[in-house]
Amino acid sequence: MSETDVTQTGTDAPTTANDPQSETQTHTTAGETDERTQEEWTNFTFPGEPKLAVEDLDVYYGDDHALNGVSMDIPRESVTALIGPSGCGKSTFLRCLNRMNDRINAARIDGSVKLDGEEIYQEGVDLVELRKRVGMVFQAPNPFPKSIRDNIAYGPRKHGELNTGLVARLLGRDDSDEEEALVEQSLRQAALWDEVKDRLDDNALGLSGGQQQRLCIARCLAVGPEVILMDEPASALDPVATSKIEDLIEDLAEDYTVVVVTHSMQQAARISDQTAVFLTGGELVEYDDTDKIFENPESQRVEDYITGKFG
Amino acid sequence: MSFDTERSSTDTLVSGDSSTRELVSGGLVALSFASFTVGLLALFQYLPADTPVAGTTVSTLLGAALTVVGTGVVVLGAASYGGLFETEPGHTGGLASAVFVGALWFAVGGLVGAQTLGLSTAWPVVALLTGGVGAAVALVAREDLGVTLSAGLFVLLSGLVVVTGLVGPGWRWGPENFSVVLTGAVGVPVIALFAGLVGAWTAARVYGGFGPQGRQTGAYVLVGTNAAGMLALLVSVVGFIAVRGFGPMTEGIKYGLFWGPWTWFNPPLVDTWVILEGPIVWFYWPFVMEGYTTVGSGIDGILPAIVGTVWLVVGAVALAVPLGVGAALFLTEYADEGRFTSLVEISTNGLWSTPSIVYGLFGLAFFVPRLGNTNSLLAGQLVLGFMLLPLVVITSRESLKSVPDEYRDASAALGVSKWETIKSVVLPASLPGVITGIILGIGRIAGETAPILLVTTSDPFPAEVAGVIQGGFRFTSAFPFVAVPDVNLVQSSSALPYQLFAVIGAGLGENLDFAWGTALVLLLVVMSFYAVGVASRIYFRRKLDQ
Amino acid sequence: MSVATRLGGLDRNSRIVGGIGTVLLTLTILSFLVAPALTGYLAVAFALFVAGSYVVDEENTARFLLFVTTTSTVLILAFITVYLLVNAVPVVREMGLYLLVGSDPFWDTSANTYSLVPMMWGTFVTTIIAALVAAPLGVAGAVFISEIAPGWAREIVKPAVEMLAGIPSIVYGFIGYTLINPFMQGELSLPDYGSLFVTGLVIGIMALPTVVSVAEDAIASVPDAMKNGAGALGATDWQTTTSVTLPAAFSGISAAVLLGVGRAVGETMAATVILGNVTNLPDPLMDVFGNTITLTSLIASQYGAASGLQFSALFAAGVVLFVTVMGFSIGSQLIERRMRQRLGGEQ
Repeated sequence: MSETDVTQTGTDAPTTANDPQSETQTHTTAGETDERTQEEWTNFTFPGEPKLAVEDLDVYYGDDHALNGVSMDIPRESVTALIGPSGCGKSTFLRCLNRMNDRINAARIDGSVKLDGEEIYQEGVDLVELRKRVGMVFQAPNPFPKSIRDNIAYGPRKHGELNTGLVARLLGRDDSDEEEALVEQSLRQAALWDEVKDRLDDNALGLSGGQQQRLCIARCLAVGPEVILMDEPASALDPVATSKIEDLIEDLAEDYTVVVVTHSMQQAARISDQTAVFLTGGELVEYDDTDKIFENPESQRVEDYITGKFG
Repeated sequence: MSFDTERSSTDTLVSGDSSTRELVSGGLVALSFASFTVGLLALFQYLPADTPVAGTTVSTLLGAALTVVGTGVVVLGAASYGGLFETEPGHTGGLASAVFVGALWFAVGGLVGAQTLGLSTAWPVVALLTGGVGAAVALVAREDLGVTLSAGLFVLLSGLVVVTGLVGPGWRWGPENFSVVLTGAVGVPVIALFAGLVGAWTAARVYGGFGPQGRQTGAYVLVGTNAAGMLALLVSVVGFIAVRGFGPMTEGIKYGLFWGPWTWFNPPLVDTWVILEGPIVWFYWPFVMEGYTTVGSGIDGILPAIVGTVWLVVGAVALAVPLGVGAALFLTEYADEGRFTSLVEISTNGLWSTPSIVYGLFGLAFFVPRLGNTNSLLAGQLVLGFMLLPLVVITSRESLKSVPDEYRDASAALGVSKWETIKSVVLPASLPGVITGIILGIGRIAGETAPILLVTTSDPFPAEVAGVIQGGFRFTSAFPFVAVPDVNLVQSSSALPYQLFAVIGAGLGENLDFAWGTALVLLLVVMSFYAVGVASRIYFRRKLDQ
Repeated sequence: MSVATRLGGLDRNSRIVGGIGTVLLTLTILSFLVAPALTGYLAVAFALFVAGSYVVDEENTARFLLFVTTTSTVLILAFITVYLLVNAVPVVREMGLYLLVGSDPFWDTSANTYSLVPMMWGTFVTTIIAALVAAPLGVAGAVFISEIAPGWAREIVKPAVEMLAGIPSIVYGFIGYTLINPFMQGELSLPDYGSLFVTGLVIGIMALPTVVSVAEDAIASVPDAMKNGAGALGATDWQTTTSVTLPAAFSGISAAVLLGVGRAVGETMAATVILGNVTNLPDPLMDVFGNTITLTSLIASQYGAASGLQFSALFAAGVVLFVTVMGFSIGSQLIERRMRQRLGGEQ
């Protein structure tokens, strides 16, 4: 943790020098006191078992230390927001939760992530099973250049849970009815059904950006995940589409564990139950109830970031 | 990694123990590839199928190996179906696999039908029947049973046919209506190649535990083999020519350090010759420094062809590079997207795909009558220049497009005119890409035979270099006191690729070694252009990515 | 925009430069067509004018010169088309449709009877065989390079494929002639030295690098976001490739195959050297191990001795080749344009 200390002292030093009165609030005293305090800031407790338990997670891209010893427990059936300036490692952290970083060759990952108590970084983990349980929605909508129906049914079909098409019909295993039901249910959950029900066979690339993003959420829901990771899901959308996505996220939290990365603090404040603040150097600085974070943060750096003095 | 690898029994993310399955199926994949490799060696007669090995023949060993693979795959499939291994089979083997296996059984049925029933009307019926059954088994049965059964039985059958000698060293079959006779020396290796690949594919599917993962492993085995095959092709073509051509190419090379006269002169007053002597490095490489010997027993060389190729390339580059780079500049910097640019684009791509022999015909009809009515270097240069042009336009355009607009805007914002901006900012930034494209293009036209065959060459075995430059630069006593050398491009010449063609056309016979040597020199010239071009492209791309 | 308004948009200087330059250049080209002896003087005049004008008005002269270079590709293609057609006219006038559908005797120089049927059949069969080799192997190679290969393997295979493209066709022909032909005759008892089968095989291998490179570009142009989307839904990499990447890149891949086939159609030296160049159909027709001739090898093997109608018939073969290959070229461009619109436009 020594690296953490250096960064923190470095950032806080000028504040101390310029404003002697703030000395009481700042936490510049080096050594054990500081470290314990930081651990307390990030030690968010809640009743029940955590859905995801992350312990001491480090990520390196080549020589770049993208994530620095992050530990946090994520409660189930709630919205957890990850905020911080760009390059702070929040997206990297998110991509660790379903091992999407495995797709980047240069990434090296150290630490532990447990899903319902089970380590996802142990040897022999079935990535297909993991990603079925931990779904993901990306920053820019990325529907496949296929029909809306094919987009929604993509996951279940690939996992052999839905059999449609010529072969299935020949074998008498046709699941078209189930598929129809699943498509409708997923689209309804994603609040898109009414807009597209009459054109399920149209190419998904013909939808508007906001519709495409909701389609991607529906596509993710169709697989039946327990956790949904969202990487700035509304950053490419206009205000109206954004508010639809935000409403949707709040609804989803009733049944799913949602983890959202966002660069918009207002958005985090509106939709999340708890918020984790990442700051430069890939460290988690503070993690608490959203209200607490935005009204009365413990860390001076977090307060500076939220009030716009830093970041 | 520092992860806790302890497993609890309630794990759902981690599949159960699969080491036995992986070990056995991995072994079968290896055995299949061994059969495949031996089959390849046998096909090219490096290890003929009837070679005796340890009391038996290569053919029998291949058959035995395939029998083991086939049996093993079927047993593994049955074990998976019986629940002895933990796998994730799908309901069906999938349409693609069924088509693949069906095609195999179609071939089996066709061949068996044709051999036993003769190529009468009956063989397609047999073929369709077996093909249909094979496909149906893969389609209808659960994946682990269907795929292993249909593909495994194919391998097993292939193995049995070979091991029993049904198709063995003595086997001969000439299908009706084809002027070909298949023998054991070819039949056995071909069976080993096919059955080896099918065995590797099926065993790899078991290795991956069936389901999506198994399909991926199976597909990767095939795709990877294909990539390895392309590498092997390059290595074997280049290697073979290098081995066969190296001797003839380097024959008679002499070199050494001698003490010899450097210069000598006759000072006017002392009526005697003064000779200055010193060490001389002497290097003589007859194959590339001599022409074809018309008389006597000297070593035949290809100097006229080398010189011809150099002239052709120089001329083509001088024509195509200014035209091509200019066109690329106009298209990227000046022209708006529209009908004119599409027309140019279509023409450029059209020129790119126009067959080289058509360029030759055009040169024959257009240039030859107008340029002295004889085959000439100049006609060849023009035609090859036309062939090079589209390559230069396409690669230069790509390179110019990759120059960021910010450069142009920055320069324009400083009040610099467009042409000045192009000269000082755009062209320098895109130069590496442009040059790389030119180098690759040179490699292509240097190896081009068809057009120069029609417009440039005449003598198949030239002894003398085409004398393009006559006289040399010298001072004269009459006005204007300097004489420039005569440049005569309107004369025929040989060229490296043509030289190779000419030897083949004349009948190889005793010139076979000469031909291999020529092929090696040609390959070295062309490949060095390509090597430099490809390497510089990789280098500059990497620099750009940083 | 009409030409007139476009010219009106240019300033006075550029109109002068363009006007005089165009006249001089046109004269130069025309003189080469009718009186090649004069071409040199006119070319010098053009060069002097351009040099002088460059000193006076750099900007406009440069623009004019670049425009002239741009028209060169169009002009060359036009000249090729015209000269092929003009030279093919005599035989078309003489033989008519017999040229394309005539039966025995196909090609008889003593009777001055010419039919391109055996050549077209030879080209057709070798191209089919070549396509059967190059298309699946080429696409698989492209998939390997852009989707499957780990970094180190990609860095070996990709340059290797590019080098493969560099091997001159005469070298392939030489190998086919000296190694494969005797092998086929010895081991498979072929009656002739050379067969359509071997030719098609060799041409397929030669077309392979074209298919790999172009198809790889197409596959690489599918956005990573799409592939990540499939990966995040739990699809395996191979499922992502077959169900997302390849369908999205389908047009580009077909364009690659078309270009490869176009290359195969026009391949000359390998066919000339490997085939026996017999101007008859193989008997029976389906005998791919038989010997015949292709359009390309017809030209390369007969241009020397040909005159009169036979010479014109060679140009007719050239026209058939040219038209076929242009069809493939334009077809692949249309397909590629569609792909670009599909992946980029509609969003």
